[in-house]
Amino acid sequence: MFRSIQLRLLTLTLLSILAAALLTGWFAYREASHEVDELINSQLVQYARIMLALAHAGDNDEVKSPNFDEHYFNPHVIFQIWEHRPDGDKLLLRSPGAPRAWPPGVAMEGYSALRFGGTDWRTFAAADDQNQHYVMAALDLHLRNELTTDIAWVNLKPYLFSLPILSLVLAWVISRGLAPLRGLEADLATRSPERLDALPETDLPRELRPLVLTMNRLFGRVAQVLENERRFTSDAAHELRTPLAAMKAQLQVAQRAPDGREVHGAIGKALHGADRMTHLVAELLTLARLEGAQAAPGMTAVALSDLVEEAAGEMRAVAVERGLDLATTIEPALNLNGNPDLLRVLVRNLLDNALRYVPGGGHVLLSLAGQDADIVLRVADDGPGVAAAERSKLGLRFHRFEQQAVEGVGLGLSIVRRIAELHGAELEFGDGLNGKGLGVTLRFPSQAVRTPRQVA
Amino acid sequence: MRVLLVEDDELLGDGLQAGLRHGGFNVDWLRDGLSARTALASEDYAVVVLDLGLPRLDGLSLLRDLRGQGKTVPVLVLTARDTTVDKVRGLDSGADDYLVKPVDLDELAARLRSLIRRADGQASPRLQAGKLEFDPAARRAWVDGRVIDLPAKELAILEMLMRNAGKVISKGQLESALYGWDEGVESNAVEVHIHHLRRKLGADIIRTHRGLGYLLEKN
Repeated sequence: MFRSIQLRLLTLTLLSILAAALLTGWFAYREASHEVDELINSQLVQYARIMLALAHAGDNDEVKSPNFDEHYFNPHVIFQIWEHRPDGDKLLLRSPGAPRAWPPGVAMEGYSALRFGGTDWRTFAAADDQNQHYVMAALDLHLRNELTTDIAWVNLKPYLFSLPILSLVLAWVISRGLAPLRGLEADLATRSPERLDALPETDLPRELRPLVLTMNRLFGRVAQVLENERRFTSDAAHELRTPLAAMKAQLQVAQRAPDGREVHGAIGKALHGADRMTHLVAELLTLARLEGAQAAPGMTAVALSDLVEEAAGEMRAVAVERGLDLATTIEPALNLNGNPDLLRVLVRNLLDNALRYVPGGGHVLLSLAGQDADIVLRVADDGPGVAAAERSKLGLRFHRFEQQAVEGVGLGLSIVRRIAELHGAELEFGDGLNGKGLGVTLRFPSQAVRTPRQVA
Repeated sequence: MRVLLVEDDELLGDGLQAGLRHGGFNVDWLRDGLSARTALASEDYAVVVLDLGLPRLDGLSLLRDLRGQGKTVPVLVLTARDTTVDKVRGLDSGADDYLVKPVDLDELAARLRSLIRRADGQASPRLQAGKLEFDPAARRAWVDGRVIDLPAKELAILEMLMRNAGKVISKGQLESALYGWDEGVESNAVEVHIHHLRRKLGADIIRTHRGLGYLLEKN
């Protein structure tokens, strides 16, 4: 309802104060009316007693109605004094304005309510001990109502009059109370999109602290993401520039080479550079797509054993060309829930990596096996390997190890790592074959679904 | 002129080496920072082309090492990093020039010539000694304003002699100007090239100092 906390606080506070004021007024009114009632009652009793005493003391015969000067008489009070007579009761004395007969509906003893002359009255009637005289006194209730309202109003008045001042004071107080919030807002408002350092966490009001801590955590994550992006872009640009430079240099060499053989060679090298760039761009795109994904897209039941067998078959020619022995031990009929295209990329990248770094005459072993509920895929070689301390850097984007004459862009293992993540698999780097080389182990947890025999 | 090229990328290194050779440079190509440091400790290079992202010892560390040892050989940094911060860091680490990949071979060659010229303390891009004139960029030599046709290796020897005109240059130094053209340098290659140069330029232009080397007079 209210978009402003300040307005909301102010309104609610003022409404509360108003409610308290009205309640006070109401209680005051009730209390006052009770007290005034008691006062009136005791007054009436007092009047009646005095009148009875006067009637008794006076001459009993022929008490005449005196000629009261109405100016001296309170019109809000009326009374009658009666005497019992065997021939009919006689009104000895009455106030001006009082009826000449006993008002109808008024009890002979005690309090009664009377409607007379356009106003409400309270009456009290009493008789003396000898039952010779009896009297009636009445007070105008209009008076009582006026008094009660006055008392209630007096109680209410301070509240109502102070309300405008209170509003101003409260507005100031609330505004002061919200100062930390405004400070936070000012800090956030002046930030450029690049500024993602944490907000100060000291001297924070308890109410703001969780908000600021949450924002700081968010800032941290966003900064991390941005930093990754920035580095990725920078690394990608760097990686693309080098093959581009190579192509340009080779083409310029071809342009000015004196003989056909050199021209041919340089163009061949430029083409090789173009291939390398194509490969690099493809890998960058794959990685960019994978980085953005929250979960592996297109998850389906995959016949992993067949897929791995197939991928290994594709790489066999490369192994032969490089003079390497590529062996496989693949447990048949292992199934997995995953994305077949990505899994193929994963196996191919792992093998490609091993085949690249293992020198001629070396061995590469690809194995796939079910271990309890897990599926374990492993590619091990007896190549130069990677020092244990360096293994944590494997799979970092564009990280290449100090090996010359190996062409690669350092993205293969990043892709493997990301695909493993998307499949919830654990990636582990260890020793390769016979305590030499590198062994890459991928464990797909609780995934082993063996195809039933009839299907296999 | 002898150039040390330090670049770990096979294709690029190969292209630069070939391109610079066409530009008349004699290029030694090394693929990592440590080998480059070793080579710089023992060999004389007119200029160094240095990639920054190198295995074993990165380019900037190598550059700082080199300057720390008081070596003044001009260094042109060749890198894919193109931000101002990178350039400033490169130049402040002791680089004399900075080129971002991909480079134009002509520009690279021109910058190398300019670096060499400045290192030699020469004002004119053309070298002059007596009636001889040599244009390192065009790879051409003149005698009395007449163009003399010379093959690349003879030009390299002549360039070295002219750059050091008035000083005796040893046979070894001249041989080093020939390294990189072929796999090996024949033991009498320098003598053969000097012989050809004398025939084309005039017998009295290059003087032999027995046991010391060769000298080309300044005037």
